[in-house]
Amino acid sequence: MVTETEHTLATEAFDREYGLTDLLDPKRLAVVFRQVEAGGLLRLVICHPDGKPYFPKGAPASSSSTDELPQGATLPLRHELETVGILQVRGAADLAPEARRSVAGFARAVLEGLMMERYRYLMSARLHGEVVEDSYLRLQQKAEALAKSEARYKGLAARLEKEVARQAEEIRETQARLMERAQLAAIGQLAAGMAHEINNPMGFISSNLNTLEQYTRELAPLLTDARRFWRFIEGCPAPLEGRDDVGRQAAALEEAACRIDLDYLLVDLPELLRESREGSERIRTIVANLKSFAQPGIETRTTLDLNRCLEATLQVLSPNMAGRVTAACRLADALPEVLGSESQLNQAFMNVILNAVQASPAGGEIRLHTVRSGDAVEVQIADDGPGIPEAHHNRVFEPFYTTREVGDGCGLGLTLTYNTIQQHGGTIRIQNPPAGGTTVVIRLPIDGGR
Amino acid sequence: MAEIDIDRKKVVVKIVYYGPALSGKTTNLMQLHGLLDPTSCGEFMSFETKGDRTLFFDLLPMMIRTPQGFSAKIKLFTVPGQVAHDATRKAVLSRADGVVFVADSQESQALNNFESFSNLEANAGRVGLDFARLPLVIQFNKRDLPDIVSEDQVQQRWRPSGLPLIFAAALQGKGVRDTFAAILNATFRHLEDQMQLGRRCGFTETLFRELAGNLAE
Repeated sequence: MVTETEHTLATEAFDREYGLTDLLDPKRLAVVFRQVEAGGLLRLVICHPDGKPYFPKGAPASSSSTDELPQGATLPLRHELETVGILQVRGAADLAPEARRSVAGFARAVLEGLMMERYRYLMSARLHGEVVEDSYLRLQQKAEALAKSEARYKGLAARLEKEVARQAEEIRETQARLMERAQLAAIGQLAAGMAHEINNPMGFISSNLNTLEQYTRELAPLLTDARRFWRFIEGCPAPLEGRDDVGRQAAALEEAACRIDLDYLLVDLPELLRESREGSERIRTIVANLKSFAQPGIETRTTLDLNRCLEATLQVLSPNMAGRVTAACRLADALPEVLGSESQLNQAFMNVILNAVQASPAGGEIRLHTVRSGDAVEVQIADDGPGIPEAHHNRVFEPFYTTREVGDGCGLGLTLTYNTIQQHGGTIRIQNPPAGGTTVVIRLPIDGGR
Repeated sequence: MAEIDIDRKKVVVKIVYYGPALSGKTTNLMQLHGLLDPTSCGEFMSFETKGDRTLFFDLLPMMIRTPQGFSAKIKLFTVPGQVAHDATRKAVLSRADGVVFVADSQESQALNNFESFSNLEANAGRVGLDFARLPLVIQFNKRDLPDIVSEDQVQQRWRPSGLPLIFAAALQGKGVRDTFAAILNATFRHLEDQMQLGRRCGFTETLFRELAGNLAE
């Protein structure tokens, strides 16, 4: 019964006009006609509206038919208010017209019923085809949209992976910096604690040393006089009456004085005490520095012109440079002001410049350079010194790290500087430019790290 | 768009009754079938497969003939209103020459009306109909029920669209003929505009009006 392929079902409009060839299937007609024609009396013929035979194939057209069709032998086949074909009942010339009309009428009813059934089937099948086709197209569009969004998500995932790796690296670096800072802070705390403990004994040591100096000053002339006296006794030709052992005792004293080299001792003693006092003075300075390290002074912040800060610091340091080293400034015009503590930052700059001065050879040059860098100001301080080995770049900020002779610096300068810059939200790093020397780069955010 | 078959002297015009589920589209067609002269009206066919309503639609064919021997077959279709059957709705709407939008006057159905109308607009675009020029008539059905949106409110909302607006109670047969006459009129004018139906085939507005006019309310 199905004569169309699925393809035509899906592509032809369900509501198109259907004609005789669509609505009457020859195979079906053959079955019906065989029954009617079984008696051999009658023959059924279906023609197109224009008279051309449709079924059975090759039936002679009625116009050219030898036997004129009797009355009642022809009926129109109607479909949807239209005549789509003509039914003829041929043969049995002697059949009564009423009987022929009955047969024709019956056959027409059967055929129109078949046509209606076929019509419903074709419309349903084709509409179904359209719906399926449409659903398929929509599914296809959905699949395409899904594929696109999948690709987008894949891209996003790839980017996300990179982003995660980048952030992980950032976190790792921050962690390392925090660790470093925590280490420095811990060392600082330890140092401050030690400083406090040292301070107490240092107090009485200094005080005792002062007293000892004073005692020494008093004892020395006394001892000198005493020696002069027993030497006199020793040198008398006749010992004092009744006291013949006095000479012997004077000789024993002189012998003891010679044994300890009293002359030298009297000269050396004040010298030793003076050195000790100086030493204790130095310890006092270190302890004071350590204390400020543990409790940074609370100071109000103001907006600062770093150029002016650097110039002021150079002014203060000029005695230290005193013709041995010169300073060259390349300071940016209209440098934005930085929020910060003036004395702390000046102290920080001073520590760095002082290091540069001390590292410079005679006739060397210190170069100061300021520049705006985004929301920050960068200060570069360069010298012609021997440079700092790469491996020491981080260590220079550790407390008590110094390469100088003992007594020439306590190794706290850069640590204090580091803390100050950190408190201002900035960074400090050491560079070894290819031309030699050392460049310290300090970067301070304009907002003071708030 | 209808096409003129010069050889067969025939034009097929397709009119689709659109609207939300249960708004009375089928009732409109059944009433028309009852009212129409049997010589100009064919069999009312309902396509409904049990358990699967995806193929649910109705068809009512009718015929106008000119003295010159031309015939216009007018096929009225209804679409399934259920939201889920959009593909069927779209297929039935394809190639429509005119659309009757059957809205449900009940207040509870206001949102369904709105959704169905925007669905009509969307599907018209999908099947290549120029919605701005498509002959369209709005019918507010079920005026015989309580709790309906007042005529004033409906007028207020729809008058700006400039579309013919008819109030109906299809179950009582009220407004069915007016609606049909309005869409026939609009469709004829549009087809006349597009393909000179009158000059080429002898159809006149009167012929179309008579088809609807033959219906007694």
